[in-house]
Amino acid sequence: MSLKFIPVPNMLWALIFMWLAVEPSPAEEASYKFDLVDSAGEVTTEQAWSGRYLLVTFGFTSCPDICPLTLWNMGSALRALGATSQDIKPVFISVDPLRDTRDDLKAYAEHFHPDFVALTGSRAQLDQASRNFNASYGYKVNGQLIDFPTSEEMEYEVFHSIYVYLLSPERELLDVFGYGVDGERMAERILELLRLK
Amino acid sequence: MWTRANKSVAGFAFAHFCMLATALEGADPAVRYDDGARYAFIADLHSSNIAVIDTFDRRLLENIALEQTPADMVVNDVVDLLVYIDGKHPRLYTYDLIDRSRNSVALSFTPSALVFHPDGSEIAIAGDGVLSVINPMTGKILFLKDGLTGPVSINYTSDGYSMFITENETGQVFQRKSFSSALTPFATGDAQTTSDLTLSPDSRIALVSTKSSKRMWVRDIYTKRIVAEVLLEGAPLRPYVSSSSKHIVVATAGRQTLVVDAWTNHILNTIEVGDETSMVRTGWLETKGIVSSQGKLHLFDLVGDKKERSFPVEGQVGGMIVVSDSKTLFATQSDSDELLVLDIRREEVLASVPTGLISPSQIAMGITNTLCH
Repeated sequence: MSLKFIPVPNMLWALIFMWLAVEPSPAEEASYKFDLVDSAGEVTTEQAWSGRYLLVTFGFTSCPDICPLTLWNMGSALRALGATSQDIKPVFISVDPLRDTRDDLKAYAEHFHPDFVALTGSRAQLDQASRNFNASYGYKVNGQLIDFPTSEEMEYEVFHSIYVYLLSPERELLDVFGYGVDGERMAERILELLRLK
Repeated sequence: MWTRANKSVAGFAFAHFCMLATALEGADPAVRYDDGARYAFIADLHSSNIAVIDTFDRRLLENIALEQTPADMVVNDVVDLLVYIDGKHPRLYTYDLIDRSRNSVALSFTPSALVFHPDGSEIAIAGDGVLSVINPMTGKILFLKDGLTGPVSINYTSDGYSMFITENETGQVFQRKSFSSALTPFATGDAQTTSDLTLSPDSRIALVSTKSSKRMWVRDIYTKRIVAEVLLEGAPLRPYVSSSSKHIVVATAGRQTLVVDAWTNHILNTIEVGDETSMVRTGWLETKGIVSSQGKLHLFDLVGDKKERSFPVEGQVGGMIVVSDSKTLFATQSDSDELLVLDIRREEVLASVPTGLISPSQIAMGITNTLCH
């Protein structure tokens, strides 16, 4: 008699384990929102570009090597994706609003791919966006952390995290690419994820 | 004397040679490792061979025979130079990863640790009571400090502006602005034997722990004040700070691991892990922590009450890295020739990676942080 009941708790355990296995992590539960300003001065949120995936990174235009390479890899990925790239909007968020003028931002980002949109914002807006993306950024003068630069003459340096985030049209985090992932590899992974959706 | 242990090692080595020959079939000796965030270099406890691992494709690329067995090993960020010491001879050994040449330079002391400056222009070498900074290409001494007490450890800030020299026996720390000879002293801890110093990636705070008093000390680098003193249940390991500089993780021998807010110094989480903890890392967008203990890796959310998850390790972890996407952890295992690979995001063990080594130990990479300066 009891044998009849054995499969029931087993199934229950299986369901519990399945639930545990798909439980989203804190990074996946985060809300990937931003409320920034584009190079035309228009307020832009993550809800722009309805129905498209977002490929997002943080940086600054005077970065000597890591940001240009990251944007190059993002642009290469879009070129490798061909027509599929129409489904993906590349977004560059500058954490250096003092030095990165709107014109500079547009020219810089579009140099890597014509579809790039460049955004920036106030300290509060950038703080909110970076918190939402589990990103980090800051400023230093002669190696000493400062709160927020108030003048270009301060000769401050910028640092920031270097992830590339792929968000779904519903603005869920699908994947993150680290520094050094080239465009071809990024494109392969994006295609794989788009097929799964 | 030809002991059973010798036979065992010899047999093991032959098995590895056979496996290595298979693994290296088709390997291109002229390959250029041009990405510091992609290639990992693994040392062997029992031989002078090292393994080169492609962390993106998760495979062994080749084994390289060095002159000596590395006791400490570093690679510069552009991955053209591997520098190591053997801990026995007063020499600094280099392996040029472009032209595949081996060189060494004489030192005036037997080194115990070495660190590259973030821009690769100088390398700091520590010994008992002494520190030397040299140009790694020419061997020219750029800075020398002796008269220190006991073993010393070295840190560079991630932006390269400062170097910190720590006397582990006294807790005394000296700050040296890069390319200067002036040293500014300050004390950390309670003047007892301390761990190596840890700097937050944003170079704001410096941390040490003292096993005897079971304390962790957090010092603000700029105000030069101790801003937190945390009492732990057991002897703490060297503290760890996440890449975001937001969380401090400190594990103890007494199974307790604490997550501390790096700005407020409030304890955010307490996690129970296994015995004989040895290393700490963070990953998956800096929301998860990983602590190694005897026979296990423990994965936990830095913030939250979800129970820690553990994964079996063959023996003790000797080296552990999280690569730049924050999703993948590679760890050496003392009782295995294979690297354990953990998907931090999915919380699952992936296929292990053979190393072709007898006993893989420490891991060196050109770039492991996730910050751009």
